[in-house]
Amino acid sequence: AEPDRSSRNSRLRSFYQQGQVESDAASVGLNVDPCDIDGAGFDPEVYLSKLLQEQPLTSLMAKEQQMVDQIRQLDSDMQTLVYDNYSKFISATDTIRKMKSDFHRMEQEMNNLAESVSAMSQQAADVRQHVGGKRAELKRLAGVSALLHKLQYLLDLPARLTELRREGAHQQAIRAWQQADRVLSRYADLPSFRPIRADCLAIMAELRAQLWKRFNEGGSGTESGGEGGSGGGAPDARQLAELVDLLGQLGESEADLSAAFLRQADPRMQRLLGDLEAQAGSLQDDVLQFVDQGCNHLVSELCILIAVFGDIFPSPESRAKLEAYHESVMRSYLAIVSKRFCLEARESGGTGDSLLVRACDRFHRKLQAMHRLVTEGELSVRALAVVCDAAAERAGAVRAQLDLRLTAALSGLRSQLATAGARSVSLPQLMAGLLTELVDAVKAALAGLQAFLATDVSFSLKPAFRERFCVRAVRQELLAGFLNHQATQCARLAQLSPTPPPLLLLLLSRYCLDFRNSSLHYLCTLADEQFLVPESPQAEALVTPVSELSAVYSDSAAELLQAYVCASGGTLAGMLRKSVDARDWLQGIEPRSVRAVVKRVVEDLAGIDASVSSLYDEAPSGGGGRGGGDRSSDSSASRLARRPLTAASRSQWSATPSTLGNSLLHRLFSDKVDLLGPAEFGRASVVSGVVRLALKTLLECVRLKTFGRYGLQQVQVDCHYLHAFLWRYVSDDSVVHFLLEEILASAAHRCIDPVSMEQSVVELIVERD
Amino acid sequence: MDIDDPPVIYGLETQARALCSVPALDDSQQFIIGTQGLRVEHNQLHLLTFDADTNSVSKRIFDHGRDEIWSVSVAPQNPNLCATVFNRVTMDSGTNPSVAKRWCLWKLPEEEDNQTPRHRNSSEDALTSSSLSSVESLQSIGSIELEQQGEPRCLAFHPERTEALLVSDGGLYQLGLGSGEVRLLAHLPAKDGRSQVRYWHAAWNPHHSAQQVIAACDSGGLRGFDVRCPPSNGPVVVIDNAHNGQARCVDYNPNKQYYLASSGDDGAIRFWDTRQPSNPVKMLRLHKHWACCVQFNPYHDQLVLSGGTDAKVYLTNNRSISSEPVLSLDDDLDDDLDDDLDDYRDRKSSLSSRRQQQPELDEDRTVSVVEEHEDSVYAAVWCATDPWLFASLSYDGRLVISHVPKSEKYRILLLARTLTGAFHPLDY
Repeated sequence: AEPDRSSRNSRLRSFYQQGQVESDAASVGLNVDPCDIDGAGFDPEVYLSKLLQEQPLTSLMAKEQQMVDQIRQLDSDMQTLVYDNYSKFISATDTIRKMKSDFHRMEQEMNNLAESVSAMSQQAADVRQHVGGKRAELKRLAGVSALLHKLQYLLDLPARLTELRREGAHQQAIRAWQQADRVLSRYADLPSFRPIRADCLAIMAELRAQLWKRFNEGGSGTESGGEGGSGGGAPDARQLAELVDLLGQLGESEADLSAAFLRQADPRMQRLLGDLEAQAGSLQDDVLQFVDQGCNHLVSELCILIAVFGDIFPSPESRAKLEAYHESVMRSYLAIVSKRFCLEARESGGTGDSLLVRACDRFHRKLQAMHRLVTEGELSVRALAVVCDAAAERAGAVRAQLDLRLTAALSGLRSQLATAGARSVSLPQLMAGLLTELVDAVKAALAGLQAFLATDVSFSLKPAFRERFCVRAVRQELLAGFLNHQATQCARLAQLSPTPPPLLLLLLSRYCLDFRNSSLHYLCTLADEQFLVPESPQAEALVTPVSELSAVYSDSAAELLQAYVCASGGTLAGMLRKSVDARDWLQGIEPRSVRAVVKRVVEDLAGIDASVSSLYDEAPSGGGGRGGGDRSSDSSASRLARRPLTAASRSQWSATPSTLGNSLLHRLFSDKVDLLGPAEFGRASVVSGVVRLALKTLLECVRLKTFGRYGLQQVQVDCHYLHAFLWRYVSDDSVVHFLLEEILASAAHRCIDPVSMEQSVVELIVERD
Repeated sequence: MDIDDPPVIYGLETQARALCSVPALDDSQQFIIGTQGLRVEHNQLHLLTFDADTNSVSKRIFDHGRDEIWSVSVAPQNPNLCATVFNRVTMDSGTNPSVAKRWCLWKLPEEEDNQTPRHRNSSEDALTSSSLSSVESLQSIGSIELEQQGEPRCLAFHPERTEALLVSDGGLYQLGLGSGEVRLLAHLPAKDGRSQVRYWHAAWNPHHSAQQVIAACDSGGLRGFDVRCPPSNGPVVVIDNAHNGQARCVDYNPNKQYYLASSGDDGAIRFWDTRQPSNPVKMLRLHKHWACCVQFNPYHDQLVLSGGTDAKVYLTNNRSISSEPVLSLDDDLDDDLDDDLDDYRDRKSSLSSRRQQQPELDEDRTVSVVEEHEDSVYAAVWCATDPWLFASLSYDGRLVISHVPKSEKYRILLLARTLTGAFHPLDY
């Protein structure tokens, strides 16, 4: 009974979709066992027989009892179920019945609705029928009404615009006008609209004029308001921007506006420029102040202008216009600044350097800053160029000062030599003084210009500045230029006619030589170091090499020395020439003494020798056959000592005129003597150059005269005297011999009664003198 | 053909200072030199004719007596008329000799056809002048005593008129030589303000029908006078300190107005523009001692000859201040030559090869130096008839006749030709 029940339960449960899990477990056992009372394969016979066979009676009885109970239970369950079903069926039947009655009522209502709808459609058709003809009319009327509204608006517009204008609501006025204008312009040909449009146009023109006026007054307002500082420009600029915007809306072209904007800004700029220009012409104001003023007013103003303009007119064309304007202003400004700087550089004294450098620095910084704002136009490069120009101008001014210094030093030297006698001044001292003075001047000049290279100066490290200032302006134009100028200036003295005092030539010759040897290289190296002249080929190409300068100095020294020889030889020669010219050689008395002029020549020669030996030593002469040692130990006084009349010297030269034939023979057999070769840098060479020049002149003068017997003898005496004294001064005795011999021969030749004096008498006379 | 003809040397036995070029009518190249022998019995004038074909010299000799010749000049219009300044020694009673400088005009006798042919002195035996030649005598035309004459220096014939200018210690004397007599036309006393000057040399200005003279003073200055003005007007050109020392010689540029050259004791040759007398236009410092003479080439005034007591004669080309237009010698000179005579080809090649060596063809330069002299050169003159020939005389009696180097000659000719398109009529 129990399996039965459980199988029934499971079936119920499956019906109600519940407890599926348990039934599965039960059904497994059922399938296998035919004796399972709840299983599907339950076989009553088998079950019964099995029960009967296996169970004892008691248990059978119990079993039977149990089964009866179970059956009874089942029956009662079944009965309950049936009742349940039945009651459900009844209730369902009741519901259906109730529904049937409800539907009936609804159908009735539906019918009512259908009737109403059909009535409405009937009415609608009626209305449509009635209204159909008047629809167009209505539409037109509605349009007219709207138009009238608009017309009203238009008619009110002039008043409204005036009102708005008075209130200063330009923006609204313009917007209103812009809206109305489209209509007005479209119907402009209608007579009724014309006055309105005309009124409006007049008002707008007034407005425009007002705006323009304000726009133009903006500049003057700025001028009067923002006089003091840069701050005044900004709010005005905003106002201007607004005005420009409004005017732009009024149909003004951007080009006109931007032009007007610039035009409006221009007078102020011009005024500032004018102020600066006025200041640039004088040194009254401090240059720093000048730069400050320029930077603070003009440059700041310009910056603001550029910024504002850039905001208002962004189009490329306007930008180009601005650039052009900016360019023109900057060009004027740079020109003015350059002018002022150059003036400062030229005019200011030694103290001006630092001030100028600071001014340049400030200027350069400011413009560099501005360059960040305006990238076009290479502003910073140009600013640097202005600074470079100023620096170069300064270098040029320094150079001019040096030149003046040189001229002053030279003329000072000249007057010093002229006032003091030749003997009373120490030439080496003078020369050393000149050397130190000028070298110091150059050094001071270089040191002064170093201010431009201070590390805190913004432009000092720019390569362009270095190239322009250090290499070109200072190293080349200032230093090399000055050095070259000095040499040529000295050499120029050598070419002057009339010649300057010979001592000056001598001194300067030695000066050039010494300058070349000691100072030239030093100064160039100093400048290279101080001004960091790079050792690049470009820099070298710009700079005159030291070797070239050195050559110039050597040439100048040689030229001066030659000029000295010519000048002092010329002086002696002039004395001799005059004396020969003045004397009547034909009619004369027997010579009793050496002519005074000859003695004078020898004395002067001693002086010349003293001067020369104070500046030039023996060493480089080298040409002389005699050793220099004993001579250099001679004092100049001892040089006046006459030639020791040893037997050798006497036999070497006798003061008797040789015949012309002899002279010819001498020429044939001796090498052609270079009588008047260039002087070398040495005492002996210089002095013998002077001697040779004097003697050659004497020879030429003698040849122009005609001599009597005593004239010839006088020449004989003079020559002997010269021979006795000149040997000390010459490097090569043979030239003097030759010249003296020539003089005697020529005199003999020019003598109408050539009877020469006894050698012993000649010697006696010379001895006595 | 570019090997230059060697200079021809002609030797005198006595010393000499006087040299002058003869403007011979037949365009032969003639020079006249005078001997300066104080104690010589017969001083002579040697009229030398240079034969370019044989490179030799033929001579005529004229006797000048005992008077030593200091200066000789030949009239440009009449090659037979010459003037000498000479020194005459007179022995008064043997003990008291006196010497006086005088001047005289001479007529050179016409060459007779039946005379023995001219003695030729080839360059080989030129050093000894032949004593075989017959000596002709001079015909004195005359001389006049001038008041305050002093020592005469030289006589400069007028380039156009039959006039001459005597330079003397007493001043400048303008002499009229026409109609066979000498007469004094004007006297410019040797006064410079209040001070006395001595003139050494003078030259006529060849421009504007030669109304001006320029004189070199012993003070080193130059003074120019206009002969049409009365002497009291003083000089019209004053160049002070033209030379340091005495000014020895002046010469006007024959082709360029206002330009002149001067030489002096400072050895310098200076070129002047008389309109700007304060500074010389150019200066040459070539001579190491006195520069005794300077002369422009009569045709190509860029060529300047100067001689000095340093026994040197310098021929310089001063193109930059000459009348020749400035021209940069460009390459079309060569193109121009290509279609030319073959004759020019080798000149061109010589020119272009030279050009490689000397890139600056046109700059002023020293063209050549006459080194043949051993004594002072007191006179150097251009041949009056040949622009490429010049002579120089040194004190020892050596006359050297030299040619302008051919390279220089062709360069000048080619330049002139490129500029004018035609040769100068006197080039050959």
